[in-house]
Amino acid sequence: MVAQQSTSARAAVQIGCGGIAFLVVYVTLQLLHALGRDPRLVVALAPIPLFARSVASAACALPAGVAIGCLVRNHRRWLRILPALLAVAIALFVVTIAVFA
Amino acid sequence: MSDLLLRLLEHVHGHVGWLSALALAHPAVLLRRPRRNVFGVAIAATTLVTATAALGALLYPSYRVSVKPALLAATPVVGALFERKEHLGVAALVLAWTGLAALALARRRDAAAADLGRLAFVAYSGAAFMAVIAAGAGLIVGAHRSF
Repeated sequence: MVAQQSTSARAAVQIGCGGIAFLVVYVTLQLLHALGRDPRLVVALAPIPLFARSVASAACALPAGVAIGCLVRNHRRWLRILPALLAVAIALFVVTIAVFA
Repeated sequence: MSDLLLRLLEHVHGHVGWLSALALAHPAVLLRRPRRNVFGVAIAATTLVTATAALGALLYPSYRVSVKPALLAATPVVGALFERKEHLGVAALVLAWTGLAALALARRRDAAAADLGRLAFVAYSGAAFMAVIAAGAGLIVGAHRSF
């Protein structure tokens, strides 16, 4: 029972951190694009910048979410602060897109 | 793809987009109580936003070549609005899937269920907000120029 709860909490942290990582990476790539400094690897992913940025963000977010979920010790504590972190990431994303897109 | 089919898909994309924006608000409103079981509603909303995004991704390469340059030349402000709408749409899709995954885990009804419900609430609220802005922007863009 305890093991199942621990697995559930870890998976939840992985999902939450993955969503946050996607938004943060996307914002970073958007800012680099606005500065005219698109990473070559991202440009090479797809001919359309929007698709390339989305794929690159997902490719970074998935391993980042999994890694953070595995590295974090107190999953319950992280799970309590994740909604606030996600809200901050959403606000950051909206402001960046409104100003720099 | 023929012009007729592109126009048809564009209309479907616009209508399903508004439907998904409203559908995403439904789990967000219900999840004010984090322990509530809204999995079915969340599946429907996430399916709708995924269908909208898939249609948008299908249309985007043609739109980028045949409509966007003329839109940017004629009304740069609306062209910029179109750019922003695309980014918000991508984020709405990712947030909806994040919320759905959190709700799937919350169905185990363990000690983390309330925290997962709160995470899903934030994810669906953000997704609904972005989807409404994207749908509104799409309406303005579509009124100016389309296929």
